Amino acid sequence: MQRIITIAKKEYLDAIKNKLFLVLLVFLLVLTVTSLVVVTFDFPNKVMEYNKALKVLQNAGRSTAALRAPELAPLKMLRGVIDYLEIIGAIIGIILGYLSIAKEKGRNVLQLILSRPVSRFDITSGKVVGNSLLVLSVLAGTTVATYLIMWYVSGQSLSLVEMEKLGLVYIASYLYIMFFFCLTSVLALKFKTLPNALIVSLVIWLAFVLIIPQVGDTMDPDNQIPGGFFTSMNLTKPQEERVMAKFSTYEKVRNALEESSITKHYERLSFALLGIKNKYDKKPLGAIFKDMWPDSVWVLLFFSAMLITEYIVFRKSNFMLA
Amino acid sequence: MFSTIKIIATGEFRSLLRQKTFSLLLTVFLFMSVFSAYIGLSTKTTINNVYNETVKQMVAAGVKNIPTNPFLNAKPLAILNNMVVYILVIGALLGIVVGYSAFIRERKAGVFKILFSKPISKYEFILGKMAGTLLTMALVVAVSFVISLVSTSVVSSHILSLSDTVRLLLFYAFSLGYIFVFSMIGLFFAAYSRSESLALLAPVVVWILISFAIPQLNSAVGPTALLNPTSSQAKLPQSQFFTTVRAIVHPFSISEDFKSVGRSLLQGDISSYPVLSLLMYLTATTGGCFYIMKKYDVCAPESDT
Repeated sequence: MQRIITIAKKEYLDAIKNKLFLVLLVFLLVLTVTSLVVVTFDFPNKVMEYNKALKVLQNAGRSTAALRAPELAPLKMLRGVIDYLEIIGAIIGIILGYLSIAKEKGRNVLQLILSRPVSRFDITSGKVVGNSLLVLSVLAGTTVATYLIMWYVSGQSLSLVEMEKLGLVYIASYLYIMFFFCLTSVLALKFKTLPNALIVSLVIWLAFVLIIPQVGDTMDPDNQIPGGFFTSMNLTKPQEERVMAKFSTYEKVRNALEESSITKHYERLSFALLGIKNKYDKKPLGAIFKDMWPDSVWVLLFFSAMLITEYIVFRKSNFMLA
Repeated sequence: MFSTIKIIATGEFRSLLRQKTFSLLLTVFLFMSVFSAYIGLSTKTTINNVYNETVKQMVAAGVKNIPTNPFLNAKPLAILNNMVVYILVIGALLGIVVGYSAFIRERKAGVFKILFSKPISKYEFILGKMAGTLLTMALVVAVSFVISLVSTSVVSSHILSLSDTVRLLLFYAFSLGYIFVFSMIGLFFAAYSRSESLALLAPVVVWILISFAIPQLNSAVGPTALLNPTSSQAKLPQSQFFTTVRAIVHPFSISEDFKSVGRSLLQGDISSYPVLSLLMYLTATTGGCFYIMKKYDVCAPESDT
């Protein structure tokens, strides 16, 4: 155990001294703040658009039930933060996973470490624990920064339930970032040329984080025009569901495509917990998890599978000098 | 001078084509070219069927004012809408990797000390690298153009008209410029940073800034929503804050400008061709590469990671 703690401590200190990691951390914090500022300043526009739409419907003598008044709810403001965690959080995981292996593999230090009474299990565990603490610190920093901004902007503090929800998003974010950490560690262990491992990690990142969710999103019939196709046709949600019931195979394919990406599971879970998805707004945790448990399990499964792979690959890797 | 540049450019072109990582990205890019047409077709067919089903239900419910099908007059090239996003995402990353590889290979092999002991200037070297990179990117874009041309013709069951072909050609020419900007950013950081990982990830950070942060400040659209082709059709917020910020960041919004040009050429529902930001980025990045090459210390030690 002592050996694991020693390695973990070294991993933590090495990473916080790394220029690239610090740049990414600052970048994440700046973008987090930017997204919150943008949401705050965009709010009056949303209110104006809502009032305009309300007036149009009232003048036409139509029901306004489908319209939802915009609200500056603290948790809902975090949509941009989740988006940036999806993108930059994953890159932080990639760079930590890469550096964790590259700094020793590149200098042939692993051979030396393994000649001491340190097992491969200790090394892998030390690396995972050290970087886990680092990721948790990054997320804590981001959470504190966003909390302070939200409190300053909306003047509201979070209730206990909201804190719990934020905490769960925090755990999901940790699992998500650590998935990319483990993935890149595995690739860095497997590849002979280290930068190639980084390039392949970035390609996988591109596929999981940007391409697959984008393809699923653009295949959604409702996303074909700004504001939504069904809204433009003045259809209510039950009417929309009745129409889409006729296209269940297409929707199943689209959904399966989206579900092949950990990012989509993480996004769905986070959006539900934060109430960004209107259906789950102000709902108790039990009601949210009744629907979202498959996404929670998928996030956990993706992470666990990659963590186990890292242990196996590290155990089987041949570090002997050629 | 020109023969030296030509030799370096040809060498660069051949070397890039032999690289596995380049082949991987190229395969992904070309696959997405085909996939883009497939998704476009599949979505178009489905959305028309969804519209017909919606109309059926509205008629049954006694609704009289039924809106017209918004996709009725879609242009044949509109099925390639997703290609705009793939160039923004995969094309830019491909450009970064190509630019990075163009410089890092010789640097790692320690060739510079020998190379610059010969009568080759740093400008000839960097010009040769730029030409080789541009040639490689042009080949990728040309293959993608042919794939798009064939797939669009197959999908619409007739050969594309001359005007549509020219539009497609212009779109890919603009895409080449866009990808080249990122390859120059990759090349710049490969020469600037002593660490290989920093050299590769710094351009990715710049790309995130250009593709997500600047457009979000410009349009208030969230980062992932920006990848939906319809995001470029969203209304821009008109408050004092956004108009001021937009005035500052808009000249740097190359990705938003690229989307506008893509939409104008492929969908044809608007006629907006903002090319100034592309020219500005091309000038800044190529100028940056010349500058960094001039300052490059051939004898400086390498970093491990």
